[in-house]
Amino acid sequence: MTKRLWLRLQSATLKADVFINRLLYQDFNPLYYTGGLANLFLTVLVITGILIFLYYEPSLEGAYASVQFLTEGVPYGVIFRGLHRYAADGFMIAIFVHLFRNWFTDRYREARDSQWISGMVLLVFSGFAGLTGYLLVWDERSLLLVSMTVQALRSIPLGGNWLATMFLGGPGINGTTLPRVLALHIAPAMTLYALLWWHYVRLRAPRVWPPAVWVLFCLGALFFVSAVLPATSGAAAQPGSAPQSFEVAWFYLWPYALMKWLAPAWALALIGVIIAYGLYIPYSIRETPAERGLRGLGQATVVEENCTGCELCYYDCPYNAIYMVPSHEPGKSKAAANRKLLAVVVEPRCVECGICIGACPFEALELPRLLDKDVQEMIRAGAQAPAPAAS
Amino acid sequence: MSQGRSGGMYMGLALVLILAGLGCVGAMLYGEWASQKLVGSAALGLLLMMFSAVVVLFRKADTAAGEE
Amino acid sequence: METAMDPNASTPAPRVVGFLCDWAVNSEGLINADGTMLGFPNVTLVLVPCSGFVKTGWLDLALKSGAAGVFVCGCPMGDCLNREGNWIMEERIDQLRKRLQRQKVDPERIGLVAYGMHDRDGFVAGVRAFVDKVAGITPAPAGGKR
Repeated sequence: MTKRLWLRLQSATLKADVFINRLLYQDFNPLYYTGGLANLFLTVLVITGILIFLYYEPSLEGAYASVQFLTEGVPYGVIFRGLHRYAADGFMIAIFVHLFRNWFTDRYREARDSQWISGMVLLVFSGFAGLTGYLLVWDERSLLLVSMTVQALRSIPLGGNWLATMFLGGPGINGTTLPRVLALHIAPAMTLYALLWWHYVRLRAPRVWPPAVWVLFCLGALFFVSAVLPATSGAAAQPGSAPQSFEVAWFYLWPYALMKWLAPAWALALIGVIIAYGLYIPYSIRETPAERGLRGLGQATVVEENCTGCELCYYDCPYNAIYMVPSHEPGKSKAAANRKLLAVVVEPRCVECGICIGACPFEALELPRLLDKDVQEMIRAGAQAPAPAAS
Repeated sequence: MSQGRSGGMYMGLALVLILAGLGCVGAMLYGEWASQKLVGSAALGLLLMMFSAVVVLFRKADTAAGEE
Repeated sequence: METAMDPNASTPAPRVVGFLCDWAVNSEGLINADGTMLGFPNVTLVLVPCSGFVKTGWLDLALKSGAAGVFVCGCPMGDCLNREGNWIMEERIDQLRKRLQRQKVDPERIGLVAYGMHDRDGFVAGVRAFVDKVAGITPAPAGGKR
């Protein structure tokens, strides 16, 4: 039942690819570069973020005024603010398309679990960085969001009060609150780059940047939207007169909208459950070897006597799963007699795709459950079978 | 990819966009001169988006020419 | 289903070996017990875990053993589950075609097609087109005496 739904989702995802390929071209298809698009938006966020940081003053009295000065007094300041604001939305959209595409097309399984897990952590960190961004403006909405955050933290049994005090830097909102929020905005954003290393470490030549068409288009769209819909603040925050409702920016503030229907503790618990389930996804598949069939042929093994150290498999492996190490003894075959290097499979990285077997001209690599000689047998049988009688 | 359409049509469309892009450059200069920063930025955004379309059109023209 | 060949043609349908990536076209029920493809008794399909798994030597072997044509089917370009398998295969096939040309073998006997999991009809049509193309190539293979 769920399997059928899954196949349908997968098929729909692939059909979207084909549809866009018909309109555009394969190397322009944005769905093949969702990660690169997220990276593009992240770069815009970092550059505009640094410029905004130069003007921002993290104090209760000065924060709102400094943002207003940036918006109204600095030439093109409103554009930079808009770029930061809308690039954040684009970042979230790209991340979610990336997530669902890879989820529906099975790109989270087995050896790709580390990409999935690092992706989930990246998602949590980006969401958190985006959320604290809304607090820094220090308008009425920020104040309301801070009080809702404190309320939610206090509702955590055991240590909730302590967490709330840590967040505010005291029993209530005080002069150290905004510097803390600023740190909570910038630190997770910087951590994203460390996490991205984890995200990429297993990939050979990861596609981290979209094609020029999409760089131009996204930058253009960001400039256009920031000019047509300038980012603005609400009324300045007045402690003691917190409003009851706020404009929800759905990409980042949905947890607060959730608190309208759920008690804060339950809203937090729900978010925790979603994150935990996300981390569990790659391990939720249990298939017998028979069900896996060709998808589980065993990890590539090097036939040491035949390896010539030519490095072809090393260059072709898409998962960085083959390392070349110095060879201490010659191989047995003639071609391998003078080798200097030997290929070694890094087993935790191997996904059993067999691309290295296709790369090897010396029969020095094998997938244990689909051997070279068996394939040759099938080929001979197929090629030599008597031609079917012409009807 | 698109039978029946000639490469010339795509090149013509690209040319129109490039001329419109020149108009955008004019709008950017006007925005800077008249301190209408929003107008200038919107024009810059439009310019970049049109250029992305030009890249696609060049490719389409190229493919169409290859098919002939 | 109809057979691939034109019923009025006098030549028998050419033997074709195809490598089919397990992540590309859904092969459930597409392969008969003897390894031939449903509706194509002259086409033998070999399932592989990725189009990049295929050795160019195997393609050569298929032609040398008497097949008239051999093709590899991967996922749509840019969409390989293993990220680069079908691009790598495309490069390898380009190399092999050049080699075959020097050996006076028509490089058109080697094909690379790409169809997604959902696109079974497209795959069947693609195989039919390939078989027809191979049938038109002269001279026919000498049956292992090349």
